[in-house]
Amino acid sequence: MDSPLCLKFWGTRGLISSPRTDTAIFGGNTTCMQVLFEDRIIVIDTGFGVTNLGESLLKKAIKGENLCIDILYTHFHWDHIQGLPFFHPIYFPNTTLNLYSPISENKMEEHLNFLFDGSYSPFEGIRSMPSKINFIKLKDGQSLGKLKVEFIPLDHGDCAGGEQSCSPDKKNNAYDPIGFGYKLTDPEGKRLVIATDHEARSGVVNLLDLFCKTCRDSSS
Amino acid sequence: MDMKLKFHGVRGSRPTHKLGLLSIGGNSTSIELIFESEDFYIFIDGGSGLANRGRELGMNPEKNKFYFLITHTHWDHILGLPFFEPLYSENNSFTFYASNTSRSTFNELFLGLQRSENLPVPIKELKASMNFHDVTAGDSFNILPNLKIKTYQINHQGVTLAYRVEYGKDSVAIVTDNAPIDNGNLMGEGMRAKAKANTRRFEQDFNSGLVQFLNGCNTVVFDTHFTEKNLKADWGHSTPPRALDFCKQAGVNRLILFHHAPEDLDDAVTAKVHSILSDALNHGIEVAAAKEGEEWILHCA
Repeated sequence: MDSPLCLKFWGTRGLISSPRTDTAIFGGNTTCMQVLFEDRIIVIDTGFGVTNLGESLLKKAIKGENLCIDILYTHFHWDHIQGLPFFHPIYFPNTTLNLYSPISENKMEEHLNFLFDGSYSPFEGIRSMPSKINFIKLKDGQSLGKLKVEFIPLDHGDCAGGEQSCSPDKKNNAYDPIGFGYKLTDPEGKRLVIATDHEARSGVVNLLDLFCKTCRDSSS
Repeated sequence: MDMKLKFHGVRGSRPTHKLGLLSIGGNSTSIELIFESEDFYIFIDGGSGLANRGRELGMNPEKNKFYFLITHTHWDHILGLPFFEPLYSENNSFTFYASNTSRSTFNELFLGLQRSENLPVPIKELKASMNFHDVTAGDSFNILPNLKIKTYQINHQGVTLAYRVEYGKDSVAIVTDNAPIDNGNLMGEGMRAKAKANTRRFEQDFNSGLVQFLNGCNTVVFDTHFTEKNLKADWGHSTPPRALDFCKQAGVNRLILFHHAPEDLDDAVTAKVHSILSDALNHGIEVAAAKEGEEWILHCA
């Protein structure tokens, strides 16, 4: 029997961190989620919330345990990536970070590399980090262990042309979307959809609705 | 004719939200200097704390002239800039003072924050007029005849500037980020080349130069990210006893500990104040920890 598919929120805030006493209930760290399934460490986005996940893994990292961490990026706006240089496991050579997104490996590296740029940070690029970092262009339906991962392009203000130009038909994709939604399906068919930073305009709404529809029978 | 200081962000490295540190504050560095009788705002750095102040001011604040003194361009000191609402109105004018480095100009780095792949707001929405001044470390300049700014390169990666602001009889210095320079820990751009002939001599000159820079200052806000126990000197930050040492030599009235480590809960920050309190009081120096939202008057005694 597999463990249940669970989601943990490490950062729930958009745009910029808002650490205040009047945001204490819902949290002030920017976006980061963890999908808990089997023994895998699966992370969605690395806003500043990821620093607390990193702290929870620090003991294992210090002991020299091999950590393999899968990170799915919805998109590369600052609030979804900015915590990566402060994610403790990235400083340990026994850590492997697999960074996934439907965009090309080169673009992914370019976007994330700004966080480690020598003018904005004390580092010399993401490749100078001690851990092993793999950039992986995600294939639709790809598996992470026993979880199946599907994606859909979302409208993060970049999809101006209505339903046609936001077609989920990835083969004939006419535009280069900023953001993606993910659907994770476990072996029992339980599904989890993450669709953040999406403008609910006509056209895309229906497509996302279809994407989500199968979740309604799911208890996750 | 007072100059006041207000902390909008006191945290170093990154903003952090955790129960147990919210009373001192979790936003990264941003300081405002308040001049009630003048027609402008002055900010030192634009970490996440700046965004809250921007929301308060809105796009059309009471005054429309903004001066920014940027210590350096690491994320924690600038990540709030794109979220500062007054930048998006053509009625406002901004003057940025910052140091270029051999890698890039501040202007380039500022525009890099608005990179379309990383921020949904396009650069063309930044409607305020903007001027960028390249400050060479050691430069002094006046904003008004009675408002003088002095700079000093401190010991941190790239070119990091300490600022001393004098307004009539009031004065304040902001020293962040700064590592102990002893034992060849030369972190600032150009320091190694200058120290080549005699490292020990360079370190002494750096320290006495900083004392001179702070001399007689009413209030000094100093990076005390570490304690003596957890100091990692090559990370570019200082400790309370080292900050106090400069203040003692410079005859400063008040030391405010700043750039708190993101993992330091309120108790840890308070303990830093206590660790130097009696030594400071014996030398007639008031000590406090910077707290988000708190205002300080900067009168000379």
